[in-house]
Amino acid sequence: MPELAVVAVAAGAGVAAAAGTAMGAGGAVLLVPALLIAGVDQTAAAAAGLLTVAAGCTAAGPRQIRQQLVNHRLAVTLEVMASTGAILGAVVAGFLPAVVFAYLLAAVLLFTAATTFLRGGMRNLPEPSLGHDALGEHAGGLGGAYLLTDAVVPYRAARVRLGLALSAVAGTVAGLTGTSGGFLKTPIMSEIMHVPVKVAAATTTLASGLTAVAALAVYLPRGALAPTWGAAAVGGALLGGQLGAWLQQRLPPVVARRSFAALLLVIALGLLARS
Amino acid sequence: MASRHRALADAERRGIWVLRGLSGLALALAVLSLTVAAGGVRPALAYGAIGLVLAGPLVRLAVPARRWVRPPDRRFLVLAGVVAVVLPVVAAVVTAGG
Repeated sequence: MPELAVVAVAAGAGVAAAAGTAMGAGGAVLLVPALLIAGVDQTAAAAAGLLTVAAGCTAAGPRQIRQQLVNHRLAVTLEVMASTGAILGAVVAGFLPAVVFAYLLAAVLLFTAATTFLRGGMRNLPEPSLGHDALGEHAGGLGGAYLLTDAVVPYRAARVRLGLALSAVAGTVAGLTGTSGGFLKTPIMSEIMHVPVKVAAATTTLASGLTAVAALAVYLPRGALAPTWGAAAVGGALLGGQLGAWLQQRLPPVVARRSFAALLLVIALGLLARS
Repeated sequence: MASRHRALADAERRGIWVLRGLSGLALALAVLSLTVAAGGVRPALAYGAIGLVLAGPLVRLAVPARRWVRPPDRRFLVLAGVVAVVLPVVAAVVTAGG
């Protein structure tokens, strides 16, 4: 393989993992379209995208665990519905024309980008009475607290049933597109379930990593990805994932939310341009 | 209570070091595979890097297991954890088959 292509895959995986980890978008949704445009076949592109998500999840893990940002219980709860939806998506993929699907997805992304961008302020405010021992996820419920600069901010997932239903929809979209669906899971958590965007992004990073590992367990034994491409994607995504987790820690919530909205807008426009 | 907090902190610290080790070793194998390795060693190193990376999310899922020690949470962890890992495999099989 030409060395330039290896460098391009590594760089693409790095950028996708950094953006995906920082904003909770997974990363495959950024890398896969780029690889398809570059002429890579769909199966290899999907495998490289999923590998980027898994590597980003692994690299971001230490920082996100130390910051107690991830709500594991919420991730697993939503993932059950998302995975069920992914099976449905895989089944119905053959019946939906690609152009119709692209327009539907673009419309969802544009709507989500607009609502995410236009919402001002913060829903979850710091609670001065809470100490650092309250940080992290709280056992027995879908809530917890995270550290914002020096203040402890408590949160609790709202509208859980609606969030579960929409997670199934996100899973269906993931099954249709061959991505981890993180670009939909984060807005579902932050905009529908009122989970702080930083917690939502970190939780999505874990959930997307689990989805990616399970999917790769099927793709890789079939030789979907050349080892050189895999090594390039792993190398780039490990560095990108660390950068993304570092950015996630430093971005103010409003900036993180608006950056995510801009990312969704770019993905939607890319989809419309391709279709 | 203090000992419980200490046990949780120890579990998280161990998880963090395991993940750092996985990331560092995977990065080293990937770089070696792309630069100095040749012949049959090259894909072996690449697959080694990929395998280490795939273990990362599963380690991340296991790290908070010590936090979920109360009976309802333990039951939830076992059921949801299994379903969350098994269902995506089914989805991927269906996708790959279709």
